[in-house]
Amino acid sequence: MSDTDALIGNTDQKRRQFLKTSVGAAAVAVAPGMLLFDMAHGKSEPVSGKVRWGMLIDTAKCKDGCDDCVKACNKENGLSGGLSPTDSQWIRKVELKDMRSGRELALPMMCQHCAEPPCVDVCPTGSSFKRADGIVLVDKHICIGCRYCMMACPYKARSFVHEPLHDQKPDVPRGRGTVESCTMCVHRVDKGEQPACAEGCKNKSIMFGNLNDPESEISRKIRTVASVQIRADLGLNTGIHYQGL
Amino acid sequence: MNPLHDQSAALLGRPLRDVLHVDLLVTVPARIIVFIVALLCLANIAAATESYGMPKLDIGKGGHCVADPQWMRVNHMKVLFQQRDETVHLGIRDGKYSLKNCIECHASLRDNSVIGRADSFCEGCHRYEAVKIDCFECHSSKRSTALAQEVSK
Repeated sequence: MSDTDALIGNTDQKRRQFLKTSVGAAAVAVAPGMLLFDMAHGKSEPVSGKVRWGMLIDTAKCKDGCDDCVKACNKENGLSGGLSPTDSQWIRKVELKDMRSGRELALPMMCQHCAEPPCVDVCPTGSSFKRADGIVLVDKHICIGCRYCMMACPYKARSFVHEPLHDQKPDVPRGRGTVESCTMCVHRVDKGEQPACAEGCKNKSIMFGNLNDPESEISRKIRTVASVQIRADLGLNTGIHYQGL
Repeated sequence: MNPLHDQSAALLGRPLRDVLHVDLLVTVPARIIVFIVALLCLANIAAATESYGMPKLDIGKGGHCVADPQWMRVNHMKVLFQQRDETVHLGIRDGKYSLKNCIECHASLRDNSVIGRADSFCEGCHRYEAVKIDCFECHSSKRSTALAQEVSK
């Protein structure tokens, strides 16, 4: 091989190397963008059991008389907020007072997204179900409105839709003759967003996250501070944990 | 004067044997002619069902549909059922056969809805076929981008 040939060979090598590194750099630069795009448009993968969505509610930060979470929920899901006595309620504020000590506290109460949900056990049509990622939902397409699940729920979390509804939100279909409850804002969670109540709480009392990931913020906090599940004696393993009860 | 009219007048003036090309009948087997005539009739019927008596629909933005329109007329309910189960139970939200997708393109540009009028995209055909639509007792019939604009106003 002559000197010129060697020179050309060398140049080719360098060019190849350059192309390789630039393609790599481009992939690194583009990948996060594509991830964001996927998150924003909803995944085409089915949800998996590797994730379990849950919440940790810090009752010390939850202020008496504040109902921002309830308002945020009503707005997001198109609920009336209780204009008529039969209107649905997905989340409510509960205020507690220990008569002996006078200690008061407030907390939001909604579907606890149990790992062993009694509503799913009793449903005769398979309409009440738990998604692989732990969110308990009603498939209203097959709900016959028998309300067994409402009776089975120890948290009184579910409501029955008595009246015909109009102008529902495109992401939150609701209709007469079916039972409904907190969906943990499943349409937002699937887009990679937080549930409306967690986002709407200005005291940052509601922390939302993946209970199955030991490194997630919520798992670390549950490991380090004392928290309880309400009616833990029932062994339902709820996804909603309360701190400071 | 209509040129077609002209032609028929001229044909009427000629002997029937010439007009029908009866000599053809002698050379080509009758079976083939019958077959051709039958084919022509079928084509006619197909063309008629496409245009005659079909409800005139306000197809909104329209454009290229996710599948062939004739196929969608027959199968839209099946793919919508499949999609709804995948979305509700598996959380797959980017399927092309989603109801939201249909509405996004096909809601009327006048009232942003697929129901409510005789020429609305869903209601037009469903009235014609006398099939009740349950979807919109729970689902929004409005284009979601239009609703989002209303909220931001």
